[in-house]
Amino acid sequence: MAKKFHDYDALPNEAHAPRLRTEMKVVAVVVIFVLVLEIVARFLAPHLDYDRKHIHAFDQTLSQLESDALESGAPRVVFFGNSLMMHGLKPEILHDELDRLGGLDIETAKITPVGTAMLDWVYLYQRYFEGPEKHPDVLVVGFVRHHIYDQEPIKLRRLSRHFVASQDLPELWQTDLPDFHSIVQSSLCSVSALCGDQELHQRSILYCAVPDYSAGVKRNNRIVSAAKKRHAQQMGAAAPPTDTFQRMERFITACKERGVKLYFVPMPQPKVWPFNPAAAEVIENHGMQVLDARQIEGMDAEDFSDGYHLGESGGEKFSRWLAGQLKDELD
Amino acid sequence: MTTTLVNYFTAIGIENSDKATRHRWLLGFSAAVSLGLLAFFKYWGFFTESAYELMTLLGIPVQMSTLNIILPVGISFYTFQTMSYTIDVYRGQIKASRSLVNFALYVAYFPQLVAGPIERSVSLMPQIENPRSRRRGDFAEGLYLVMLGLFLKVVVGDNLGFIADGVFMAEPGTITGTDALVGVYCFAFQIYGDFAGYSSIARGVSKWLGIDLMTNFRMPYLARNPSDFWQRWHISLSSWLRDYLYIPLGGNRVSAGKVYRNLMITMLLGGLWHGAGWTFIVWGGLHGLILCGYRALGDRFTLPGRWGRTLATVFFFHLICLTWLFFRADSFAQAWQMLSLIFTDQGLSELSRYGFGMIAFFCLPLMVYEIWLDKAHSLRRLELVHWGWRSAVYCYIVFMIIVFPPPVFGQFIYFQF
Repeated sequence: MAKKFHDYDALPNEAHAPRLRTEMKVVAVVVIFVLVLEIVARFLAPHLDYDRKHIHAFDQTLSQLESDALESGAPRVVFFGNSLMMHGLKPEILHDELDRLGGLDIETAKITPVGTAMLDWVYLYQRYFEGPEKHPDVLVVGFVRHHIYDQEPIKLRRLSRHFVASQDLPELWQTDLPDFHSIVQSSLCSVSALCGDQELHQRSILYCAVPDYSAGVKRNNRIVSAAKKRHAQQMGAAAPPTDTFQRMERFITACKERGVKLYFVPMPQPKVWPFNPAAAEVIENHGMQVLDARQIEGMDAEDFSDGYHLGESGGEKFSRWLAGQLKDELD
Repeated sequence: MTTTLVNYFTAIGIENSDKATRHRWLLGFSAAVSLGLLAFFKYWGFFTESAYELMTLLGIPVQMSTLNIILPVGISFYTFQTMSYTIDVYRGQIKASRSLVNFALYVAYFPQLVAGPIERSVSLMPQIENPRSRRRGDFAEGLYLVMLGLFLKVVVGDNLGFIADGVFMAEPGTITGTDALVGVYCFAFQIYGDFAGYSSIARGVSKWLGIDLMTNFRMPYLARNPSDFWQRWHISLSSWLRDYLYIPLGGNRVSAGKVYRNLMITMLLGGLWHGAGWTFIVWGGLHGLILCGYRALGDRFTLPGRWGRTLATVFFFHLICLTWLFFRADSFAQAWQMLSLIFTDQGLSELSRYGFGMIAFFCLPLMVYEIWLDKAHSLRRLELVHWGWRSAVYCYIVFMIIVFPPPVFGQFIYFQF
């Protein structure tokens, strides 16, 4: 039993509650603090990790490509996608192979932000390739099954901060993410680096402060997602909906309107994966081409560094194979 | 609407009549309607399923159709709130409201409608019926309560809730006893952060509207015994149960055996109030047993000195965690399994190291702050320090809210009650 009763809600005798004016000073300090945090976040943004460094260099990469192409008069080829293309394609080996095959004069660049998919690519293209001189002549897009069908954004904050231009936000809300939560979050992330890069700030602090953070959070995520799948099965969830490719259509249309030639490259995986014929049909209907890399001769499971991305040997095989394909197509 | 109209008119009926029999009939009628609606919406499925299981167990073949009833938001809260109003009018403690609009506002006052605090008519009705005046300190206190509430909900509750979900969703045999313990600790802070956070935001918003709502939580995990705990946890419910159930049953002014009976009835019904499930009833029953045990043993085991008090707090926190295990578990089988794991299979895994780290990261500053408040026996200590210190605390809260939102935003747990 509590020994005595204390009126926890009352102010002690002769104490006075703060005046409104004093509290406004507190509010002002908090507002200034948030502004300072925002400035710090903007300063840190390009240095947070490899991916952010890469994203912040998009403009520079594309300008360099443009000036190189102007100088040489060679067509501009951009290798586009995510970590699959990033790890898989070795530009120096590609050029070396092209030389070996008799030469093909092209200027190349890689735009491969990690963990992106079709929704990111639609807006990324609109934002960074806008302007007549920015469009490449050829865009080579690497992907596996789950990157091209319509789905929820993988990272909404990064999408809103780094891939969607502010003038494209209304399009994002109308076509892709019409719910209230997404609208609010994408608006905030669009204007604030602190919100847009929040996941990285959080992760870097927790990595230092919490033992086994990375392994623990991964295990927790796996348990939760497995439990959700089990639950859905128990509830007799309906068969998964058929994949749709509306965003891919938009992406192709945007490129086509600007005269860009698109090559879609289903990337190699340790096991050959089924490429949806509906996706192939969309690509072909627009007059674009598929360069099927799912089964490259001589490639085996040893060529993958982690069971998903191509390692050193796999990257070399893929780059040489792609060089051969491009030579045939562009010569 | 039905609850509001029935309680509004029965209260007026009670006040307009001089006959005690009529008072009792009207009170009984309003209680029957309020509890009937609650029973139908919240407990129908539970009772029919339990009856079906019992019949099947006894070998009696029955066919029962269940209704897929959608639970009205906050029904447990506004049912108790309206009942307390009619009972207070019956007892002559307040006058019946003659304005249906004011009474409807009392029932459906938005900041606390869905998850409390369960306000008493004696406190809230006069504030609604009389014009509100500007008071010095309302803005500051409201700001403090809203900031604290957001921190509790977004930073503490939802972040630890994600870990608790992982542990409680894991397949049997895939976690260690230490993982299970981490899951229970995380749930203890999840439910505290979630519920106290909501109450705090509701109180803060009300302060800005010039209305005082009662305090619902006072550093509950610093309690040293069950009696202390119930003066700190969900105070609006525990005081409601005390005033409208425990004391009318005879309270502690009856024989020892009856006091234990009253405690058990009160806590079992308190458990049932939380949810239509046997795990909630067991949760209430465990609290009843703890209260009975404390009453029987009482001060005989009081530990002296600061270390004794600390030990009592830590011990009692673990006792509360034991009850949370039953509250959170999906079934008895899961609760027993996790309990036996905790006592037999200790071993630090990556999940438990991560879990302990997250608990320390999110809860340690909160607990230090609560100890600081408890030492001064005041929830408003922060309002009295220099404004610069207050700014620093708010900056920390804002930083945590912006940088550490949970991976998945959870709905308020008590919305379902």
